[in-house]
Amino acid sequence: MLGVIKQIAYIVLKDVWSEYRTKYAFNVLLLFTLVSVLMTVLVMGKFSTNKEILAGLFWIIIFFSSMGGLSRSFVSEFEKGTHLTLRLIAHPLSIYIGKLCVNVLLLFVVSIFIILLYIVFFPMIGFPSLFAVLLLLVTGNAGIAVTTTFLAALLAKTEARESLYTVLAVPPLLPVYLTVVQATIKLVLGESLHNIANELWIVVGYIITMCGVSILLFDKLWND
Amino acid sequence: MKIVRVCASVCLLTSTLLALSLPVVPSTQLFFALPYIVGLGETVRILFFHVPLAWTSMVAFVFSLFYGMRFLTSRKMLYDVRASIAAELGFLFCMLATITGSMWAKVTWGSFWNWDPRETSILILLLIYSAYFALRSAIVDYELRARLSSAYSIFSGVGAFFLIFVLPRITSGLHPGAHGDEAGVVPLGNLSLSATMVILLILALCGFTLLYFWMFSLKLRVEVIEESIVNQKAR
Repeated sequence: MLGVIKQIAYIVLKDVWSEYRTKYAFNVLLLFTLVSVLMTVLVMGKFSTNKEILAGLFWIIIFFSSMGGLSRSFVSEFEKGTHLTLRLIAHPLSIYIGKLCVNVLLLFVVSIFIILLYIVFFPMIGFPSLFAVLLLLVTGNAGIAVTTTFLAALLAKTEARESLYTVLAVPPLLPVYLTVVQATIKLVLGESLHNIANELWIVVGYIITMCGVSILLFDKLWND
Repeated sequence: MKIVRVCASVCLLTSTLLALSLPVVPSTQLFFALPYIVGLGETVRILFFHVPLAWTSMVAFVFSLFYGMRFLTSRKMLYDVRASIAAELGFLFCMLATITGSMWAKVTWGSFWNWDPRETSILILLLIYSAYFALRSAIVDYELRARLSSAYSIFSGVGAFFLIFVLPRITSGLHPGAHGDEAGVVPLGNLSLSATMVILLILALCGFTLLYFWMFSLKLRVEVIEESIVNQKAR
């Protein structure tokens, strides 16, 4: 067990360090979010004051940001040929959890960046509780990352992965999206953490279930 | 398979004829009649097609999931063929359930589509299996295609569980069994089905399920014959 935790920590450190050196995915993600928020402000004009629409747009921007950068998590291993080394030195469970942690971290940073942009461009949105916002961001991003990490592993060996990634990711992600958007709307309309507890529990249930299924299936995808 | 075909035909013919011919009356006491349900009127007859179609699509998708699991554990290509056929038939029944549901919704709720949680969940189910077919068509290698599509079908099938059984229960909607419905979580909770309706519904459910098994065996035989022809030509 200790060995698995150590392997997970090493994989997270390796990916963060590798990302720090190239900054490819990170820069692209931040630029993408900046462009998306600016487009929202410029295109929607006076309609961008609607809090419910902005809450939905927040998660749509996160979704497309994750589509741009997350598929690289396994693809880059195959492109560089490092997957064989990874297969030799680490357990599949550690690889999946390690990549999942990196993706959650990346999405969390992106969502904090979007929140900052929202504070600048849409000052009328006020959040009643910072803790509730952070909790929603962590659970929502973990829910998205569980699905996208597994699909990134599934599509890593295929040729048409870029176009397939979005098509395959949308349907299994919708339970998370429908729930977190509902919770975000409640938050921006001034409701407290207590009122979004149901939604948070559903996402937690989704994360646990999908994480279990992913771990069981990942072994079949990674070792062949 | 002949017995399945005969049973399916008998069940479907009987249920269809009875569903279309029995009178809709205000009293629920009459045995050879369908009870009048407020807001539904004569349209209640479509219940005997819409519900069994949705049920059969679920049966087909569960079989697709099961064969996907069997493929991943045994690596026998026949299971992948079965999973793909079950998914195709499930998709067909799901489409028919959506169409009959939309027709019923137009009459009772005023428009073809109302974004009710169950409508949303069936739409997403169709999206999941459209993505499944897109994935299958994008990969040329048989083994890789079978492995990836089985993994995707299991993964998204588990995700669909949340859509079908969890979300409609916590969000308010127009379908019976939605959040706030006094009849609770039973899908047909407040329809006050009479004995006639229950018998008809069971007959229709059996008929459509048997029809699925018959169609499945036919398609499987066609696929196996096609495969053997391809192999003969290759030699």
